[in-house]
Amino acid sequence: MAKYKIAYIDESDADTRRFQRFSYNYFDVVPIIPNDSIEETCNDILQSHVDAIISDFDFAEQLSTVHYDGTDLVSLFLKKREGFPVFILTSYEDDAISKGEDVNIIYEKKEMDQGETFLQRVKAQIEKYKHKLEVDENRLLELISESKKRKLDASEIDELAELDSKIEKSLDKESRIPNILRDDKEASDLSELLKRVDDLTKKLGGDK
Amino acid sequence: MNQIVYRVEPPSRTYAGKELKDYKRYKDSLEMDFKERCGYTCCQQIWFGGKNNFQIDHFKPKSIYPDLETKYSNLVYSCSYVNRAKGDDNGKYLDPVDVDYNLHFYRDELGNIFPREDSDSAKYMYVRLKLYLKRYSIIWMLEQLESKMKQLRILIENTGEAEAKELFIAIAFQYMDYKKYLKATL
Repeated sequence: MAKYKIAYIDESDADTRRFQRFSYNYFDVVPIIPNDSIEETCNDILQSHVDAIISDFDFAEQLSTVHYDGTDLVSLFLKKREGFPVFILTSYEDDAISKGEDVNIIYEKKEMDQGETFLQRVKAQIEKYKHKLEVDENRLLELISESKKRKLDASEIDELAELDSKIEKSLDKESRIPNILRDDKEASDLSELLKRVDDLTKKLGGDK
Repeated sequence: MNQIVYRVEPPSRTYAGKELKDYKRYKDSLEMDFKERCGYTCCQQIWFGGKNNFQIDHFKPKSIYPDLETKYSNLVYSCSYVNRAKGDDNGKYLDPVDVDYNLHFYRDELGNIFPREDSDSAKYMYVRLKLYLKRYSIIWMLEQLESKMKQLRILIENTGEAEAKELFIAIAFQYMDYKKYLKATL
């Protein structure tokens, strides 16, 4: 099976090379150097189509023009792709934790000297995330297919809207549509309204 | 179920200038050639916050075909949803410029996208690109509302018909509500 692709964000070349050596058997690593703009760095990660992100915490150690850290970067990324597997690998675990970040995503760089537990955890997290999306997607496709054959009941309609929203947020949370617009009853009423315009146009012989 | 045509106007690739070193610099040309719409879903970019939030997809992934990274013929103007869903996948995709998508996809009267039964590529893309998402039917519906308002305006101007005025108001209200909800998220 092909290796998963990981974005590794670090301003230190030496640390990036160290991580690449450490994870060679597990992942294809896309090294990303933090840009001055957090948005641009985030876009670089999005464009690299990776399965997970592992970021250093303190970029300013060697790059004085970068005014954000790894926790800012993964927070911004999660605003764009909800639930995506993200990790912070740092020499300053306490600093990262004191910023109030999710402690479950923060690991010390010394993990690299202590075997492959960290890599196994990243791999497991990627697989868990992918599996969950796949289960949601299969159920959503099943409901869509059923909806073509019969009228769904209220709980199925709710479930369909919920799954649609979840999958949408996993791809882009920023431009998502509000749930209120997912109402098929509303869409059917609109569709009727549109038909009335066509009927009226036909009746009055107006131009389309 | 009524089958509605998937897209009215196909995109093209007309850029004939020199090959650029950075593919992102083709964005203006792609925006024009793809008529401000996602090549795969046909959605207008205005519902995604405009050009800045639209992306450039490499039809053949640049990670697998690095030589094609800056070839205009390999680029597709795309919304963030499709671009991220496709990722580096090199499966059975149909180029939106070279292939008539109407032979592979259709919509129902609510604007939901469906693959045609006899197209394996369309069935693959439907799942992989998540073309089943509700957002595509909602955005299609908004475009219909807009076009019906234009249609009604002509009717009102030509006939002064009261029913046309009444329908115009009803549709304009719905359009404004939809727009308000979408704007709130952009």
